[in-house]
Amino acid sequence: MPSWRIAAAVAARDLRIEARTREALLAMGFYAVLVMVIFSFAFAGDASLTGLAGGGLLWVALLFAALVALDRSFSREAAESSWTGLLISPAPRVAVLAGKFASSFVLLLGLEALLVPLLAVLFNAPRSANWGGIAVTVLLGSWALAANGTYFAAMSAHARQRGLLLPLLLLPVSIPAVLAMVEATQAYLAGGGMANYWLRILAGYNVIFTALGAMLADAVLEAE
Amino acid sequence: MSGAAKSRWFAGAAAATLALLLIALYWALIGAPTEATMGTIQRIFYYHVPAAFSAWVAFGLNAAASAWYLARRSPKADALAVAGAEVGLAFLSVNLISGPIWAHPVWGVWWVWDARLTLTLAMWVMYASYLILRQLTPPGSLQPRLAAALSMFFAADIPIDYMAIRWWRTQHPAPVLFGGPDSGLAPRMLVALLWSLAAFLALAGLLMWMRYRQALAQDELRRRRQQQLLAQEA
Amino acid sequence: MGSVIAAYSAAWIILMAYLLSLGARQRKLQQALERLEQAAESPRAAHVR
Repeated sequence: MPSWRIAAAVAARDLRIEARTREALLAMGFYAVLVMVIFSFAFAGDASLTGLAGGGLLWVALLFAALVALDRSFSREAAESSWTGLLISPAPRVAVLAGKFASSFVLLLGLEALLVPLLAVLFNAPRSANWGGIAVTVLLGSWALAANGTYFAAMSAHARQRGLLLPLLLLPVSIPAVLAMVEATQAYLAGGGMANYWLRILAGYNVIFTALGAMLADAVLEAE
Repeated sequence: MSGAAKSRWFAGAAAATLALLLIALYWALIGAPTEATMGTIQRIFYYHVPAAFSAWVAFGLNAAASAWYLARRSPKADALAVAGAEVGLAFLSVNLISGPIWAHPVWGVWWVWDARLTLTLAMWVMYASYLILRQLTPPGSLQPRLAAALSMFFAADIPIDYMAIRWWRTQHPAPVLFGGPDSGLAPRMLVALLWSLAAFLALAGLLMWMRYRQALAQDELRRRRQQQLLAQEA
Repeated sequence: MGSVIAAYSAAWIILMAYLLSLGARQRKLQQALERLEQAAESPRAAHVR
């Protein structure tokens, strides 16, 4: 079976499960909204402050939600014999990882469809905000989180304290990407032009780390 | 090299390292002149900079050893990797603590989010997470493999981090702070710095050597235990 | 001078702490290796679980 078919099958299976139970979307969605609301209390509802921090808040909320989604995508597998079967099979590890990545990516995009309008409303985003730019930023940023997140979720699946280890592994490596996501979002909200450089960094980051994750897929997905 | 010869060699190396550390300490505290603008506190520089340099060397060895492990699955590679990470983190901690101690009287703040500090903090967090990963995964073939992969991620990440953080700082300049640690070095100051560099690198090398040997011994112990268990079940 | 002493002391404390932790681990390792040797020499002792 060609690799892309395997990847698609893995992704489709995961998304089907999520669509049926709707657990993930609800959990992630609620979690993210809650984070945004609670954190904005920190700014005492001062519109000017939230305007300055909107980008950061969006991505903090998304990070929390992504951690939930990523943890789920591998924790479920441990109990299923089909997963072990998949690992023992000659299916290339990259394909399996790609499938996992795709389902997490789609989930994150679905969540953003909810969060970005919420951001606009809560923080009274100005008319001049560049929503096209924000959409691109969200796309690239979600790719970064889903790609590295999937890799490190697979890595931490082997460990004790899986839930603790995932953010410990993901967040440090994601620092340049998070920097870029937040800065770009903030720049677009303010209608500024500096965002382009950040998007280039983010795009470059995605290329490099997607390639690296693909190259090192075997290291992280061998059946023990 | 026989066991006895090795211990003698090690004792010699340890003694030489101690000597270097003491010489460096003399130069740092007495031999080097007092700096004109900052005064005595500038002497922290003789520990702060060599610590960073030693950390970078150790992390570099970790990266090389990790790549070697992924290519060859050699236990020696893994032993070197963990040694580099631990020793590197220790020296980076020295760097991160001496920095604010110096900064507070000189800049008036403990911390600024300038490019170098931010990158150093990011690296500290990365290698700390590396050690935690090792702590939480079972030894054998799993732990070295996962750790090596993570180390490769760091190797790719750190240059990008440097670029991104530098751009970030260009966009949001830190407050103007003058009197940075490397503004003008008198000859005797350079001597002090070089002695410190030699001493720290020697210490880093010694500690890495010790940790490396220990990692190999731990691996040996684990393998013998496994053998014994298997033999008993036979 | 106080800050300099503080910084240098912090450095020494961190590095010596690491050295001491290596020493402690080494001792435990030696003991474990010795126990293993003894267990190997008395095959009737079945207590390694």
